[in-house]
Amino acid sequence: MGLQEFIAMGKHGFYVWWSYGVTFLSIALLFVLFAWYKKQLINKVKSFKRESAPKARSIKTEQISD
Amino acid sequence: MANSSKSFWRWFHQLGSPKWFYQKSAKWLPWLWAITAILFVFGLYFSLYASPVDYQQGNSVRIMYIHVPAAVLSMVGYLAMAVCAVIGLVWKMKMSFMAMRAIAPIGAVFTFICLFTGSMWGIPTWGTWWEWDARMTSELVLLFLYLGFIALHSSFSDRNKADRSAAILAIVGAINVPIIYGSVKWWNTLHQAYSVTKKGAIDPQMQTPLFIMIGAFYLLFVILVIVRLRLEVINRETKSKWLQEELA
Repeated sequence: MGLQEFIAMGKHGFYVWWSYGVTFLSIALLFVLFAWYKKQLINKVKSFKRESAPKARSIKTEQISD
Repeated sequence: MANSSKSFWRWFHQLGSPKWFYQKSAKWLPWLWAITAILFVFGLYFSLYASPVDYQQGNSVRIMYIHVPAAVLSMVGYLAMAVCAVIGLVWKMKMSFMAMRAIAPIGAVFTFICLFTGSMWGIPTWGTWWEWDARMTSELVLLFLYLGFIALHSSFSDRNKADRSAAILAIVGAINVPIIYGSVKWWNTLHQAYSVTKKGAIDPQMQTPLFIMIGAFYLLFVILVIVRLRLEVINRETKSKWLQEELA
C-alpha cells in the first residue's frame, strides 16, 4: 500500500482524517489551555506572596515607631 | 485482607490531602505518559493501518477506534464526576470537589469528540451526519450537562456555594448516563446496538485494537484529570506555605 492509497483510505480519507485530526487537536487544545491557566495561577501565587510580604514589614515598623 | 483494607483507607486519606497529591502526582505523570504513548503507538498503527477494512463500511470503520473510546470516557467521566460530588457532599473531602471540577472540561471535550466523530462516521455510513436518534440525543444532552456544570460552577463567587450547587447538578444529571447506555436497547432507532463486548459480534482483529485504544484513551483521560487537578490545587491552596515553597 502506497502513501497515496493510505491517505485516500478508499473514498473515506476525508471522514477518517477529519475525525482523527479533530480528536487530537481538541485534546492538544486542552493541554494548551491548562498551560495558559498554570501561568496565570503561578502569577497569582507570586503576587500573593509579594502582597503579604511588605504588609508584615509595615506592621513591624509601626510597632518600632510606637 | 484486613491489612489490605487498612492500606486502602490510608491511601484514600492520603489522596484527600492536596499536598500529598501534588507531590506524588508529579512522580506518576512521566510513567503514565510513557504507558499511554506506547499504547497509542500500537493502537494507532492497528486502527489506521493494520486492522482489516469492513466489508460494508470500507475504511470509514477506522473512525470506530476513536469514536467508541471517546464515548466510553464521556460516560465514565460523568459518573466519576458524580461520585466525586457525592463524596464531597457527604464526607466534605476537600480533594473530591476539586476532582469534580477538574473532570468537567475534560469530559466535555471527550463528549464533543464522540459526537463529532460519530457525525463524520454517519455521513458515509448512514447518509446523514445527524439524526434525532435516542443514542445521539442523549449524548448531546450529556454535553449540555457538562457545559451546564461548568457554567453553574463559575457563576458563583463563593466557592463553597459553587461546589455544592454544581455537585447537585452532577448527581442529578448522572441519570442520563444509564439512559445513554440503554438507549440502543430500549428504543429501536438509527444507532447500532451493543457489539463491543458481545461475543462474536466483532472480529478479534478489530476488537483487539479497539481495546488497546480504549486503554490509551482511559490513561490519557487520567493524565488530563491529574494535570487539571494539580492546577485546581494551586488555585485553592494559594495561601499555603508548602505550595509557595513548591513553586519557588
